[in-house]
Amino acid sequence: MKKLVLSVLMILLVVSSFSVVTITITGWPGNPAEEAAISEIVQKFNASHQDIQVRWDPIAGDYKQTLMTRLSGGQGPDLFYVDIYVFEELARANVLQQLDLYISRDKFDIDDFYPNLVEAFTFNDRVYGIAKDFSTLALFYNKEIFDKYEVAYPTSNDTWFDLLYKATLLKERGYETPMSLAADFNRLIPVIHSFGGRLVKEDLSTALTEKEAVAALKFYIDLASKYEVALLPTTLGAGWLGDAYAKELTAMVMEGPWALGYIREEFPNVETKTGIVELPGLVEKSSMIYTVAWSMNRQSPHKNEAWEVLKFLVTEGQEIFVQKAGVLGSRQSIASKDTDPMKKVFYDSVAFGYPWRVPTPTGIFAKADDYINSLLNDLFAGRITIEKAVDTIEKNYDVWVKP
Amino acid sequence: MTKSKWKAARIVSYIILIAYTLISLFPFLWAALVSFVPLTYFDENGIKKGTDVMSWPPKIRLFEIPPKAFGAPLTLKNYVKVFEVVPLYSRWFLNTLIYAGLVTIGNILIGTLGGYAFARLRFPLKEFWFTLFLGTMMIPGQVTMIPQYTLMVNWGLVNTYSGMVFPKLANIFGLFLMRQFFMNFPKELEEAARIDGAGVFGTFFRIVLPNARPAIGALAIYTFLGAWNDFQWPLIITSRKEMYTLTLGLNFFKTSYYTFWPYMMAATIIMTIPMIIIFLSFQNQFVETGRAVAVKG
Amino acid sequence: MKHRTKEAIFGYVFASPVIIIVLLFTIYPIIMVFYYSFTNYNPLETQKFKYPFNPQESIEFHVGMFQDEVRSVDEIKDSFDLFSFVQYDVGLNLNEEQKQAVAEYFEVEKLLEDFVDGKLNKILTTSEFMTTYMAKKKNLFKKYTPQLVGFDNFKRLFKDEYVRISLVNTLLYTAIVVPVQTFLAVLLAVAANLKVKGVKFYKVVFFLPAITSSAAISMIFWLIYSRPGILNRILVALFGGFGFQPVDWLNNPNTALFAIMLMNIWSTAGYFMVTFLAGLQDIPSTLYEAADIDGASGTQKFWKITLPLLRPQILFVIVMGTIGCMQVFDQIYFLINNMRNITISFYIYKNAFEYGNMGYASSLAIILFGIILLITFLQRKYIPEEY
Repeated sequence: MKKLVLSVLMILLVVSSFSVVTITITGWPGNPAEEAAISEIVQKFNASHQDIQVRWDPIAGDYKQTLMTRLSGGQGPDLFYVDIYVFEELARANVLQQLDLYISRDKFDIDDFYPNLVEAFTFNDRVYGIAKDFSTLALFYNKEIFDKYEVAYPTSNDTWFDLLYKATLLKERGYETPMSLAADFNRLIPVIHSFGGRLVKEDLSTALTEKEAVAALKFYIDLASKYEVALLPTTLGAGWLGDAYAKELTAMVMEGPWALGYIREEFPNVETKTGIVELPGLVEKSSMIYTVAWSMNRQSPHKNEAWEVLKFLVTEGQEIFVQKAGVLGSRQSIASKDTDPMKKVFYDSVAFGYPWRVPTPTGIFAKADDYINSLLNDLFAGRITIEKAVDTIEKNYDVWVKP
Repeated sequence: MTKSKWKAARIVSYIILIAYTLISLFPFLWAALVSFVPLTYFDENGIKKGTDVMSWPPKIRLFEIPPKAFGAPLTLKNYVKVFEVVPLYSRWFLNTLIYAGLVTIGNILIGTLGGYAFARLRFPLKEFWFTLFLGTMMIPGQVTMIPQYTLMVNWGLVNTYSGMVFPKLANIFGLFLMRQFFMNFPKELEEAARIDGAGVFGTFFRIVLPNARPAIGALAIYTFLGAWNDFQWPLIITSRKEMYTLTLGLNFFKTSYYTFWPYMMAATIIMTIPMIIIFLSFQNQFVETGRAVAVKG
Repeated sequence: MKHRTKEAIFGYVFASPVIIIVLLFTIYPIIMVFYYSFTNYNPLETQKFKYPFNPQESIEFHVGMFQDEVRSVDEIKDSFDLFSFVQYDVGLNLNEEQKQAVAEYFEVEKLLEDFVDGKLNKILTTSEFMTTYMAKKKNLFKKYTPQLVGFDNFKRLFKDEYVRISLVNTLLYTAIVVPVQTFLAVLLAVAANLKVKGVKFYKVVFFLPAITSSAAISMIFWLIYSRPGILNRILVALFGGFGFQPVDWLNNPNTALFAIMLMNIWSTAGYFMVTFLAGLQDIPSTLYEAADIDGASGTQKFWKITLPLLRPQILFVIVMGTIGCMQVFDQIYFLINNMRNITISFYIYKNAFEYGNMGYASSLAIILFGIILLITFLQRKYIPEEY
């Protein structure tokens, strides 16, 4: 009798373990606000689905390196984040699963998503990812500090030179660290565009050596080296721009809505002092559009189940994420419900935002991004001149965009 | 040397030694201090305040009750938080233990067998193999890691304990150590065993090995230490966070808790304490490895 | 059996584990690295013949009609583009040879017929799929083989500025760390050996950094080196009067590498000190006594007796130190985020695992190997003493 019971139990155990499919989803850990949002989303899904369980397995450290290693080892996750600027590289390498099949089969409401976000993750007329949210850049400023030094607040109509003027006033009146800038190419891009420059020419070779782009670069660097009104976040003792602003180490930063989520979670007293306006313009107004998609691993053995999870992540999951992490909804239905006044400027900035995807002949941009960032770092440290930096880009860009 | 010269020399030595002791210990002590500082705390009026471990002066008041630093009372909560936030810590500890343990045991077996063979036994191509092995000591890890990774992929051993351990089972340095030792081993003992009729196996397992404890101890410690602290290979070979070792886990912690210094330091100290305990318990063996390598044949 | 033969057999039995493991995991990889360096090995492609997919669904998507709607092959023949189908819907990037084979031998008719007959509604791997429908040359589609590219990788690395930068960084790193840590270790050993009380205590304390993992040390020093951190505070307190400003040690490209060098020396000097201490203790005191009788001064004894007799240990420490420094990786991975400060080992890793070009990375690895061999050879030549 005992043997029978035991074997029945064993069979049940084996059968039940077979019938539950575990889907692994991966991204980068993000700040604590984002982490909390993800945990909630995962819990919610697991509670409502008996046969599919989700595991969140974030990659710390360098996301792309580790993801590529895992994919090439045959051990990749079922769903993972794909940042827009590496999207084309991964799509071309054929490691992403096309989603059109599932979309048409389930009549998934892909039209609810902003068209240019859907477009951002389309390659060769095939959809390879669904944007989970998006962000733009705006200018955060600390009202309390501006009040203290009696300088007028930045406005959405300011130009870069107005910004420089206000920062200089702050410095003259005694505030040492008016703004913080990042040595990141993607933060420089809106400056380039607003100066009337562009990133690539028609043949996709670099346009960073054109005079508008160089002028923008010079302005950006001069803020730190010549006018001395800006510092890197690490120089202030913070990890990133939002961190520097939230710890009140600086008065102005150009950041995205995730910083808002971070402030609300960790430094709530700073939120009341915060004003947000559009980035300064010049010849034209410009901002960045960042977006990350959930994509499916072409090697996943459980594609149907992974699809179920993906749908949830960009539907109910998005609602939670938008609320908790402070990002913007990629679904028009969710975005229209998001009436948070602090986020209004971010939504408005979409109109003149540039999606963070630089077209190259091979579809690969990540490496060039690394090298340009390194040059920016050197410029901030005063180790090379602008002329040398531009020269380096001119000589090497074509090599950098190759594998 | 005259007496006064001796005295001067000794004083200078003391100064150097004490200065370097401070230099050696300071980073650990500072990290420990920061690890006990809470990220935020409630002051006597019940108001929530943050503490900044970068503030100056650090206002260290260790002899008050409760001890304070950076304006906040010291607490153990960060350590608790680390375990809370990273429930996998114990799993990572286990992984590191298994990895280091298996690699050590493997190296002891393979190293003693191989070391004895190269020290005592004659077989064709012996010199060739040994010179080849010595040459491999110079090969940087980066040269071999790509094909080793590919091999593991092809065998389907990525993200498994076997995959982690196999390539690390034959450390040439260990082989060299054991060979040195066996070459210095008193031949008389072995000869006596032979006369008594023991074969090669018998001599090895019953006479030589039991008397090789100091060398095996040094080998074990050296190997265990290397494997415990290994970063690059586990980085490549693991692909799920359940399989991380402590070193990888610490890296993971850094990305989430960027500049939350007290948590970072608590995580770092937790990671280091097991090794420190092992170190203090087996002090002699550890220090012996530094010494053993220098002993000439 | 002859005694000699018997011994030889035993010898191999004992030595075989070592030999096998080394052959498999060291010698074979070295050969493979040489091979890979002449290819364009892309790690992302290693799995491409194992992708599972449903051919029916892929064709449905490709032609825009569901299987049960299609009655004959003619309806879909024109909208079916073989190459785009294989590349995007099956998911295989083909090289020239494979493209030609597909053009010649792929049985499109058969595929479309099977589709119409509903035979394709199952999961196949890309490899199974291709071998089913290729009339000939099936073996091209079973496993990924990287393509040979001749000397392209080597030509490229000569022009790559970051190869030069990372090599210079690595050599600079080695050239500074090795002498300093060796000298410091000797100094400490001599000091400890001067019949000072508590030698054991010093041994333990100095050894402590060596047993701590590089990850932990990196984190701790990240705290100490940051701009508002304790190191800057101390330096400002001491040298502020001379106009010293706090420095962002790890992020400033001018100081980053030096900061890591210092960290490295801190963690290894103690370990090597113990080696020297052992060596010192092996020097018979009679030598020093004789020198005293001859009226030698302290420094004379140091340079003429101590150092020469420490030669084997010095050589050992220098060689091990060099090999270690040339390969430094962990600290760079944790703390350096500017491409200008990377070392060659990190650049190899980045090319292999992030940029997806293991062929190029392998060629870099060979260069590194060659340099280490050269340096070690030169060291052994000019500091003669076997070890």
